[in-house]
Parts: sequence; C-alpha cells; structure tokens
Amino acid sequence: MDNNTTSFGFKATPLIALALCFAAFATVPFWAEKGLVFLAGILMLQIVFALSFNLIFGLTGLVSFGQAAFFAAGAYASAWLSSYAPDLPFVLTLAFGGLVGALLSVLIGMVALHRASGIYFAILTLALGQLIYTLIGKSTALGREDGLIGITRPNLNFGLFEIDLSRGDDYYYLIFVASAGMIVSLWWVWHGTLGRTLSAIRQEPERIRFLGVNVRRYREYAFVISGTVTALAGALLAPWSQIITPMIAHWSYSALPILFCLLGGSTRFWGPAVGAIVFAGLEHSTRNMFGMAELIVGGALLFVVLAMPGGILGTIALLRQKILSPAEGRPSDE
Amino acid sequence: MLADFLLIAMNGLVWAMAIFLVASGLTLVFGILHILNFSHGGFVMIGAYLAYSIMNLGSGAVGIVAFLGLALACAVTVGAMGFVIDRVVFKRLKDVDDSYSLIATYAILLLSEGAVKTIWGPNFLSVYPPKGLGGAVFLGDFIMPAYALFVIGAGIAVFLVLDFWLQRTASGKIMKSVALDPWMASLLGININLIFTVAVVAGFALAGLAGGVLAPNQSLSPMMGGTYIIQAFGVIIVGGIGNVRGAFLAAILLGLIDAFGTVYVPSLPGVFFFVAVAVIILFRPQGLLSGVR
Amino acid sequence: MSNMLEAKGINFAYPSVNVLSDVDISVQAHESHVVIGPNGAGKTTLFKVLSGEMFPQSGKVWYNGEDVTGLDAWERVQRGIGRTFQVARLFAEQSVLNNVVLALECRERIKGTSHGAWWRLHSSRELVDEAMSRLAQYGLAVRSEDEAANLSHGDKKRLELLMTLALNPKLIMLDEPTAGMAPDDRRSVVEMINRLREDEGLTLLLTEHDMEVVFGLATRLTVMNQGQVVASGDPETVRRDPMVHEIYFGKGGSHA
Repeated sequence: MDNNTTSFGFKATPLIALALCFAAFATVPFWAEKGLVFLAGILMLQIVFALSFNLIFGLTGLVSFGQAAFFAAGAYASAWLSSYAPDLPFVLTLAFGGLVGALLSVLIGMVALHRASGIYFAILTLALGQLIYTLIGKSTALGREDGLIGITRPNLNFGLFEIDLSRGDDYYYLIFVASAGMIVSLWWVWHGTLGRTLSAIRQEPERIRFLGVNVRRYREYAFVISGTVTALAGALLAPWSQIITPMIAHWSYSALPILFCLLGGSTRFWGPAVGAIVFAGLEHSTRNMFGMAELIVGGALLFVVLAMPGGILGTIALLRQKILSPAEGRPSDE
Repeated sequence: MLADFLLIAMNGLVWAMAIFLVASGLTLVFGILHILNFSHGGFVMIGAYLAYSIMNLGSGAVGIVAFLGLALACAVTVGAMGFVIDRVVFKRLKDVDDSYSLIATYAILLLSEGAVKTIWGPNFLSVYPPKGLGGAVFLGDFIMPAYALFVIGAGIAVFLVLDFWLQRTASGKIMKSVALDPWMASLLGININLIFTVAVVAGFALAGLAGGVLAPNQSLSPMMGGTYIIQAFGVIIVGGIGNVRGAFLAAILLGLIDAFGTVYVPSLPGVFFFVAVAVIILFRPQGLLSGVR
Repeated sequence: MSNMLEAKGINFAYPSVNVLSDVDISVQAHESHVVIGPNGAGKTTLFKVLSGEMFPQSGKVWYNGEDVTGLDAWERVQRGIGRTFQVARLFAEQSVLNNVVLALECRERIKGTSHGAWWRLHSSRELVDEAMSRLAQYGLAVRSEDEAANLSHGDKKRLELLMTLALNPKLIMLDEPTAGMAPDDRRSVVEMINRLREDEGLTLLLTEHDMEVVFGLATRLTVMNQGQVVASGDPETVRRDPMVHEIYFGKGGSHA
C-alpha cells in the first residue's frame, strides 16, 4: 500500500506530460510566430507518420525502409485530385489519399511479405519505395522533379455552415483534430486484441503460428493499417505546405520514422512521438549549419542504437525503476 | 542495328561493373559478419572525394599508373577508417539483430554525408579521367569512351582477384569457413576476431578503391553515397547476400535489364532496375546464388 | 481404430543431406505414439513435416482422411493438431496469465466469436477467468503475474503445453516433453500426459530420449535411424526386435 502512494506521482507523470503536450499543440497559434505554427503543423503530421510506422516496426517487429512511399502516395493523390476536381469536398480528397495509400500498401505488402523477412524485407521495401520515388519524379501529371505547387487549402462545407480553411489558423486546427483522431485509433489498435497478437508475432512467431494464426496475414494487416494512416498524414500535409516534391518519397524520408521510433523508444506507444518532438528541436536548433544536421542526426542515431536500446522512454523507465526499487539487482529477500 | 544493340549492352556493362565495384565489399562484409553496411556507399563517396583532393594537390589529370596508385591510396585510407569503425561500432553489433545493424550503419552513412558536406561543401565537383583514358576507342562500328572500358576492366579485375582469393587461397578458405560456422572455426583454433577485422578492413578498402576508380564516372556530390548504396543493395540482394559471384552475375543482369529498358521506354529511366529487383526477389527470395562464394 | 494422422513416402532433404527417406508413419486415435531414435535420426524433421512447419519434397500427409500435405502449420492447428517445442516457445515479455489469454483469444478467433475480435481493447472477463482456472489446474496460478521469461525450465514447458491445450486440440505433438527436467518433474509430466490420453481422450505423438518416460507412456513405438523408420509396433515387441536392440538399445545398454 505504502508503495502505491509513493508510485502515484510517477504513474501520473506520463499523463501530465501528455496533457501538457496536448495543451501546447492546441495553443501554438496563440503564442508562437507564423513560422513556428507551420513547423508545429508539420510536427503533428510527422508524429502520426512515426506512430503509424511503429505499428509494423516496434509492435510487429519488421524493419521497413519504404514507409515514405505511403506518405508521398497520400500527399500526391489528394493534391492531384484537388487540382483535377477542385469542387470535390475536401473529405473526399483526403479519403482518396488514404485509399491510394491503402492500395499501395496492399501491393507492396504482398510483394515484400511474400517469404521475405528480416533484412530481405528491409531491402525489398527500400527498393519498392525507391521505385515509387522514381515513378513520381518521372510522371508529368505529378510535376516530375519539381513536384506540385500552389496546392490550395480547402473549404469545409457542412451544408449549414462553411469553414474556410485558407483563412487564419483554421487549417492548423483541422490538422490538430485529425491527428488526434488518428492517434486515438492507433492507440486503440496498439493496445487492443490485434496489437497484442502483433506483439506476440514479434516475440515468438513460431508459437503464434502454432496457435492457429496466419502470421503473414497479420503482418499484412499491420502493414496496410500502417500504410493507410501514413498516407492520410501525407494527404493532410499537401494543403498545409502547399508544395510537395518527390523528396517526401525518397528513402531518406523513410528513415525519419525509424529514427523517431528508436530515439523515443520503439517498444512503447508514445516513443515515436517523443522521438519526433526531440528530433524537431534538434533540427530546429541546427538549421543554419550546413552539414551539421547529418552529423547530429547520425551521431544521435548511432548513440541510441549502441548505448540506449530502449530509447528515451526506455531509459526513463529504467531510471524510474531504479528509484522506486533500489533493491533491484541485489539478492532479494523472498 | 547490331551496333546499337552492342552499344546498349556495353552501357549496361559499364553500369554493372561500376555497381559491382561498390557491391563487392558490401557483400563480402555481410557474408562474413552478417552486417549489411548501409554506410558502404558513404565510404565509396569519401574515397572519390579523397581522389579529388589528392589530384588537386598536383596539376589535375594524371597518367594511368598514377591514377591506379591514387585509387590504391584511397583504398588504404578508407580501409584504415574501416579499422576504426570496426573497433568502435561493428564489434558492438555482434549480438544485435541484422535489421538493427542496418540502422546503426545507416547512422554512419549520415555521419559520412555530414563529414563530406562540412569538408568539401555542397557543390558538385568533377574529377578528370586519367590521361590516355580521356578519349574514345573505336571498336568496330561503335565508339566507347576509353574510361568506360577502363571501368569494365577494373570491375572484372576486382572480381577475378576476389574470387581467386576466396576460392583458391588458404586465407580465403579460412574466411569462408568462419562465415559458415564461426563457432566451429574458433574450435579449430582460428582467431575469428582477427578474421572479422580483416573482412571489415577489406570491405572498406574495396569501397575506397571503388571510390577512387569511379571518381571520374560522375560528378561528386554529397548525395552520391546514397545513390550508390541503393543500387548496390539491389545487386547484392538479387545475387544472394554475401555471395561475390552472385553479386557479379546480378550486376550484369540488372545492368543489361536497365540499359535496354531505358532505351525502349525512355520516359522511365531507372524504373526497370527496381522492377527487376522486385520481380526476381518475388520468385527467388534467396537470390540467384546463396551461401558465401 | 482408425488412423488419425497418417504420412506415406515422406522424403525431406536439405541441399546436401537427406534427412528423411521414404518415411511412413500412422497415428491412431487415442494412442500415445512415441518416436525414438538416436540424435540426428530425423525425429524433429519428421515432426516439422507432420505439423506443417516445413514441407516435404515428396510424400503425403493425411489428417482424419483429409490430405493436409499442402496446408501450413496454422491451418493444421485450426483442424485440431497442437504442437510444443523442445525448447518452450513463449511470449517472454508477457505475463504468464497473458500468455494463456492470448492462446484462448486465438481459439475464439478461430471459432469466430466476439471474444477474440480485433476491436476489443481489453480481454473478455470470461477468457481471463478461464485462463486462471486452467493455470490453477496445472499449479501455475501463483505465477500468473510473473513474466513468462522468469519461469523455471519445467514451468515454461508446462505453460507451453497448457497454451497448446487451450485450443482444445484432438492430437498433440510433443517434442521431448521432459528434456532437461529433474526426475521428479519427469514423473509428473508422464502422469499428466497419461491423464490427457485416458481422461480427456487426446491422441499423442511424442519424441523422447528418456527410456523410463518412453515406456511409462507409450502405447506404440516407432524407431528411426538415419532418416528411416526401422521398426514400429507395440512397445514390448519393438523392445525385443534384435535390430532395434543393436542400433538403439545396444548403445546405452542400461535400459535394454
């Protein structure tokens, strides 16, 4: 009992941190300058990108080097549709982005998960992602290497009233609400029956196979859910940045979510979000130093993989455990 | 018609040998240590930039012999870097999952890109082919740049030397036995840690050599390492990871497919390479050849 | 009695070694069929082929008259075949209780009930209760909150068996169920396995090294050597087979 009261403060900390983050993102337009508001919008989408990626990486245990393909598929598909049919309701454009991402992840998942695992899966997703990158860069309808520019922010028409998202910070709040919705869905998948099965697949694929589970099918589920949510994040990005280039399909962009997950801690749901926020801070503070970004990112990544396998959250948990039960490691008095 | 055909095939071969030069060290290191070294392309790039700097110490273009000497100097320097990276990083990746080593070495690739950007700057640089290889050679009906033939020759030479070393020499055989079963090899009194170090240093030296030889092949930019490593990944996965002969075959196969694909569907350069990789792996997940050869 | 599991003409080879050549085996309902043979005889490979973990180059496998040769392990499990491993495979990061609940959820998903539905956030109360009572049956209830990784070797094997049984299989394949156990533990496992057959009507296919265990539970014995079946029949007949004596019992001597 005594132990419970002392640990209460620790148990509440994550919730407080979460609430603070939520409040910070909710109020950014009120206290930050325009440039920072823009970055905060991007950051929320990157958080969704990383959290959805972690469904296959940290939870299912597959290293994919092609996640950017889905992000770009969503962004390009919705941007293309909105310029092709500008009168279409925005929700449909978004859904189209998600749908294209879903179809693409079904296709890539089928190829990459067909007998391939481990390092073969990593390289195969890398090659297929680069294929998408090359195709986008060569396709005239998608603006070739220059990308699509002048993407407009839409109106949301609810029949009775209309929200003009091109005005003020309205689109920022659309990203905020949509990201929150996607994060809640991902949280549900991660913690629910499906997530537990996926985690079991990572821990011991043979055992779960002998419990009558079609492992490949479940990996495909994870891959497609992850790809679809990533594509939705991409679809939300296009009207926010108003310009998209093939760089968002490039493999170096696929490496971002891997970095976020490892930095924050890939075995915990919130790890990638922590990683994305910390990384954004690092990147922002080194933005004017040429070549420094790679050195810092590379150094941080190497350090995390070699010396901090649990990422930031894993390390915090370890420290917390040491504070709570200092007897740990010594012979216990059973 | 036939001349066109041969020209396309030769172009494919030039690409193939260039990528094989990059892929050989990569596949060797994976074969022995099971570390797929993402940073390999970064060290090819460093080798090329080193060649640029050394050349610019003198008057620019050098003769063939001097050029070869220069490429060897790059190999030695990058090999030495490999020794350090083996000590600092690779030794700690022994018990880590393959995919995590891939991520760790990706971090080293980023570091090498950052280093190149800081030292040499963001601009495109170019390196002249060696004197005597600057012109063109007439082969019957068609003309090839002499340097392109040099790249093909270099690729074949590296393959023959590596293959001879692994198949025929005692040290090569020891290498292969460590790759097959390190535990057994250590029981037989082989110092496997030494072998691992030798493999890593040899792999990095091959990257430096490739960088030196290929420096005039394209303009130098900080993106070069990434471009090379992606293509080399495709080649070694199709060839069977760890298999030098497989990488040689796969490089030729993929080079020809991409060269012909690009000629017949010119609007999509580079696409055929990735499609071919995906299709081949779909039907032969283990690659063309397997095991260490 | 009818053949529950039957395999004919099984050949399996790795690139350079022949592991199984022309193996026939049949398991009848309610028997306890033990496969023995020296190390490298091909017992584990035969298990992998029968359970669908690997596919033979030639030969066929039937389960209850159905040709299951081309079915993957998970499909055979859904038809009622369970299997444990020489070294227990568990979800090491999960609690003992969650291991069992996961197995039960897999069962419910096969049945298509809402207990295993993917949208569920928490496991259903009924499944947790069932898991607890199953754990109690095997004396593991006290360890229910421990991480599976922290169990003793014997308890790990017990837990794995329990998870396999959670799917209510008709036939279970146990690969060396007593490997690495102390003699007391072995006796309790033999008792447990005999109860499964006698009280719950399960059919068993096992491999085992310990001769005391083998003769404690076998109702039929198949002897393998160098990838081939050398003898098969009731334990006493096989024990007296001079050829078996030579290649198997002749070596150790003490149990013959």
